[in-house]
Amino acid sequence: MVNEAMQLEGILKSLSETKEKPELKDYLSGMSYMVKNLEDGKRKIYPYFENRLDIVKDIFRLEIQQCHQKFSGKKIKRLRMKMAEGNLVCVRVYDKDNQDLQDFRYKKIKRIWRQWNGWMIEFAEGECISGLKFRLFCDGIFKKYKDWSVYEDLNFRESDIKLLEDIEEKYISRWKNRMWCISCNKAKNRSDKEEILNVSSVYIEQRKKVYTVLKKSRFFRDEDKKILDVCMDKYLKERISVKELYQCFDLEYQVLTRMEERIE
Amino acid sequence: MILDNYDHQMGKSCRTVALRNLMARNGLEWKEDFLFGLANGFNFSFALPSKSAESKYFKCLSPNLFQFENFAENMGLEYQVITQVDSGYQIIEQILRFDDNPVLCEVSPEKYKKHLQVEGKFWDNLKLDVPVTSHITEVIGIEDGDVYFCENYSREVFHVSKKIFSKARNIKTDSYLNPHHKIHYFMIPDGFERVNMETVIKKSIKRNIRSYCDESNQRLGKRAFDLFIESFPHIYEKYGERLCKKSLLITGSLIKYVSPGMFRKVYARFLEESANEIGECSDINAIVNLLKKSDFLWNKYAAHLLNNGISVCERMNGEKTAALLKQIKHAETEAVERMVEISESW
Repeated sequence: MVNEAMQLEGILKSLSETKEKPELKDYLSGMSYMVKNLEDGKRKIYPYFENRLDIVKDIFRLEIQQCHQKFSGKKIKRLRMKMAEGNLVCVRVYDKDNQDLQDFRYKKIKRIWRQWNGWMIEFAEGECISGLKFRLFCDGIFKKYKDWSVYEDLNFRESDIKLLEDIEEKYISRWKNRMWCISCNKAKNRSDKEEILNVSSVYIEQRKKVYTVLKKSRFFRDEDKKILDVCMDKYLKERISVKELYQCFDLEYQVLTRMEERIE
Repeated sequence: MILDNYDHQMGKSCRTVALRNLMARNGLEWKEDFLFGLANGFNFSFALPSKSAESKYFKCLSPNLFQFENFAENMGLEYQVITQVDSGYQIIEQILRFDDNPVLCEVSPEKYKKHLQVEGKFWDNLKLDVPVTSHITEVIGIEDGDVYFCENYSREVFHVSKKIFSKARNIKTDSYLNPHHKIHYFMIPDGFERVNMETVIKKSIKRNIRSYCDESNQRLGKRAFDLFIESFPHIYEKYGERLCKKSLLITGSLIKYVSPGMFRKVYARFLEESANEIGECSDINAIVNLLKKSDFLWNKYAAHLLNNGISVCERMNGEKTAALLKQIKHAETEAVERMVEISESW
């Protein structure tokens, strides 16, 4: 199960150290989705996680630079330069027994230095690893998942952190806008409405997390709960027609729209 | 399949043209200049020569790497960056088939430029020290093993084999600017014209000018501009003739071809058009005039840098260079101050 709060722990710690701690970790789950083709010709719905930092950027008005680059000497130099300029630098570190592209944590780098046998990396938690070993590890993960995001690093200046937005309101408004895009895009009319899509367990978990956040909101009402329950029942069947999927998206959009109206 | 009736317009920047064409495909006929503003196009970057950075030469241009992200944020659009290796082209085919939109792929055009028709020779004008990466091309179809795509500098629909196109999607360098199979994917809802444009425009200008002034990266925004103005007169003395000669060619090309006039006129046109939506015409017009002046000066400056008839030392430190830099500084500073003033009043 993907745990965004754990993935972003190092970053959130820096944010909360600088300002009064916001309950940001509750608002990290998003509603973006993607459809993957399976080998048997069927298609399956997954959440899209790679925009997990957008809400952080938005709420903290933070310019976070995200790069994908193999763990080469060039990358080491770039990261060292960023650190020398006073930036906080994090890289993706995958669990040894990773089962999924999302089984990683962003780890803050404390120090990178050169030893007789090459570069060494020290993470904020105290763990050290040689650059070569880390590179080989990352290359292995890339071979497994064939996605360049495994090489992601990110940096930002801690001094720039300014918490300026109301998280709850921002979250509702953000996902209301995005759900409009998701529920009304052209793919809705161009897809075979009767096609049955598999629903991944990760997708269901993600939706559960988002619903929990919405249900806790002061702008949420009982009638909204009934609507979200209808959607969840459909997702839980693990197989859903394209028509039903878009009906769920539309219902979710309606709930978010009403919640946003209550803000105003 | 190849997209039917794809209306491909040309333009100055690959990213904003791609956005223009994508939005037009979805019923929103906006000009490139207008999209440029909605994508926080007002920017500046400058890097001094550095062994540890990507380039050992000095470089100056108007960067556009985050325009898609900014556009999506300002408009409230769902936007995804897909980094999965797509050797079989399933992801591209899926977007073409279901979304009926062009697929915005990041590429290094060096890999296919010699296979393009006549207009593809555009790339030969660029005199850069490293291959052009992070270029955006609009893939509009895949058929019989070929990829069909449109570029911002030509009306033609180009096509190359999947094999060649794949090479352009992932060049064998260690650079973070390697395209890495990136696809920039937007979901645009039906009825998007209902969006409140006044709010969107104000948000865009506000976010743009705030990030320009508060930029933490010293190679970007106002910090980079101040560094450029301050350090340029000393570069020749510090780094010498050889490095400056090559750098002049690179920077001149970048300003002239990659970010003409630092795109200041383009941003000015965005503001002009925005005035219809947000009012405050006299304030906006004053900024527009300053930006147009700045654009003219940047182009003049680029032509001066590329003038081989003048010595390298003269182009770096001569009276004309100093005068141009002074005028640029004046126009840019005043325009920025006025943009801060107006956006803070909202």
